[in-house]
Amino acid sequence: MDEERKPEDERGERAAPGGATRAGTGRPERRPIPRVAPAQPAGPPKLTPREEEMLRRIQAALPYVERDTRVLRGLGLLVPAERVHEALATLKSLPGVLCDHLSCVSGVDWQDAIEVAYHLFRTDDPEVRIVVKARLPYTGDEMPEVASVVDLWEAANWHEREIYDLLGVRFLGHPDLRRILLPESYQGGFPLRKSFVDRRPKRQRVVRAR
Amino acid sequence: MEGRSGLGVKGVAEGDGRGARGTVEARASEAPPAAPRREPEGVHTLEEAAAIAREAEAGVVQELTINLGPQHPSTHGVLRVIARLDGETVLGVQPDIGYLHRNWEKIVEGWMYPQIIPFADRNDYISSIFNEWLVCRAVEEGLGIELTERAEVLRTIFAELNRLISHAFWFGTYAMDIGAFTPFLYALRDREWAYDLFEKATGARQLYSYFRIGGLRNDVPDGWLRELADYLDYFEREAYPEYIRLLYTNEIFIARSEGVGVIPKEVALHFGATGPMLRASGVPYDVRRAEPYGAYPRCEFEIPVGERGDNLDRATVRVKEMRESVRIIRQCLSMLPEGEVLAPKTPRVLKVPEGDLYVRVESPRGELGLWLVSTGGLGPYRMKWRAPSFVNLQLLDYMCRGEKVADLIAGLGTIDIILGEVDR
Repeated sequence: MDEERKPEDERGERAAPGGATRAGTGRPERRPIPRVAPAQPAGPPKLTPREEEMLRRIQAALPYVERDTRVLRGLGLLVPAERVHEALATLKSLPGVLCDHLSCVSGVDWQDAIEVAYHLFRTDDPEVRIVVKARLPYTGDEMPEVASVVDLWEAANWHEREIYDLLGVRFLGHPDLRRILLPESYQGGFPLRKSFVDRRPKRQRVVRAR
Repeated sequence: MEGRSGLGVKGVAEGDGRGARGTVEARASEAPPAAPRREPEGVHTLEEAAAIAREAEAGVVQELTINLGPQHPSTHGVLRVIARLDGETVLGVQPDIGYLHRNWEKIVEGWMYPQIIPFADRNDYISSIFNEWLVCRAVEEGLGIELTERAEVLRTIFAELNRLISHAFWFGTYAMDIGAFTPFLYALRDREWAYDLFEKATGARQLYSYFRIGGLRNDVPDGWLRELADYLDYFEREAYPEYIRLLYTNEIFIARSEGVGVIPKEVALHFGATGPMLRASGVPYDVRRAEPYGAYPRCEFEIPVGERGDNLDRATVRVKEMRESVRIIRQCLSMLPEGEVLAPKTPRVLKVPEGDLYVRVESPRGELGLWLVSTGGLGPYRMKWRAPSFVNLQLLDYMCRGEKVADLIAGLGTIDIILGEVDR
């Protein structure tokens, strides 16, 4: 924090001692802000012994399940899109896992595919934290499809409607797949997709993340 | 006549197809001639009315669909509930949400992490500390920032104080939902002092932007902790017993709440309910225990649990949680160390490593979750806000089936929704 409190000219952001100026502007050259590397662990995040045991059990029951190493905390699982319902039903009843709390269903657009994620917990065992993900490839404006899990957890009902509404994923077997947040007559596309164009008048842009 | 009763403006003529709001003439003589009076639709002839009466006597359900809201005060914001009724009995309800939708998940996609904190506050505006805590925790966990002890304890104090006044506010509005007006005034009176405390420390009464990634913006001012202790004494000695006396000795309150809107344990889990909704049904699940954060691992507190899952249990759980909050703040005050409130090793450029992270905190309404998908940039690639009220509101239909219309309002009250969070 000491660096923050130094007078301005010592920080080197203004008035560099060499007198170097930015080309054409006549203003002093700005030294780049020091970038502190985040504490990024090498290799995939480590699993606890309990999570490793759960992964073994799950893979014994469902051989097609792979571990998702993008998940920084908890156990991440990747399943093929057509097996999502089966995988979640198994996680709900598999001894040693027995997830009983579906906390969240959400999706993210990776431009070529939409990834849906199911966050599962167990109310009497805090060590069970599972994320099940499935990739649904798509092109253009088409709506990829995946089986609904409303029959397993009613909690998924509104979450799935929200994904249908904002990301454009069709959940097969959903009892009431309608728009939920946007008006019924909305024609502007799927707002959470990266290809979505905001047609409102432009205001000054903030710094975009890369 | 219809135009006049709708707006209360004299001389509004109908018949031009634009409805009552289309034109407002200053003088009646300026208005175009009124259209000939039509026979209103939906009025029955005498024979039809007699047939309906016979059917009703024979026990045939006469279904009626009514709209509750979106501008009705009992919906706690802009929520529209489409209710199917048979007389006074509710056959089923369908909440219609999205009136406050602003798609903030999309808006923040391009923002840097520190920019998100003030906007996150606007989601659950009654208890906004929890929103900013969640954003800060997500980034801190992603970056592996260790907070100073003073910052952790102060964060816990602020969160519990916010939970206290959030539950107090809920208590007032619920009492109003079931027909008692006075408790609302008492609850707001007691909330005022807490808001003053927040204002002294953070500069704002409701939307604080006080937490920073790596700690807090500033330390609390001199004498603040002593005043907080005074407030807790006041709350425990005067306000809390008053709430109990006002409600639990009130026959109407008990009669309106007991056995109404029952949610069994299995149903609550099936619907993904969290917070007091789940605990009132008998599941002792609390993120503060399941995934301890802040200073909670070092605090001793109980998790109040109900038995039946009716409105009375939900009320009792919340009232008991107020007392537990006071207890937690007292413990935090006694363990509060001296020191910095901002972690000295906080990087100036915050880039969460590539990957994704699901972080949760226990807000007064339940489990507040954030799914942060990062591609290693300065801001999130995708941010999913798991709002507890959004999930809990799904239970409204289950709770109200077979109850009376008035119990629909009471049921909506015990879910404790914040529409800013439901619609996001």
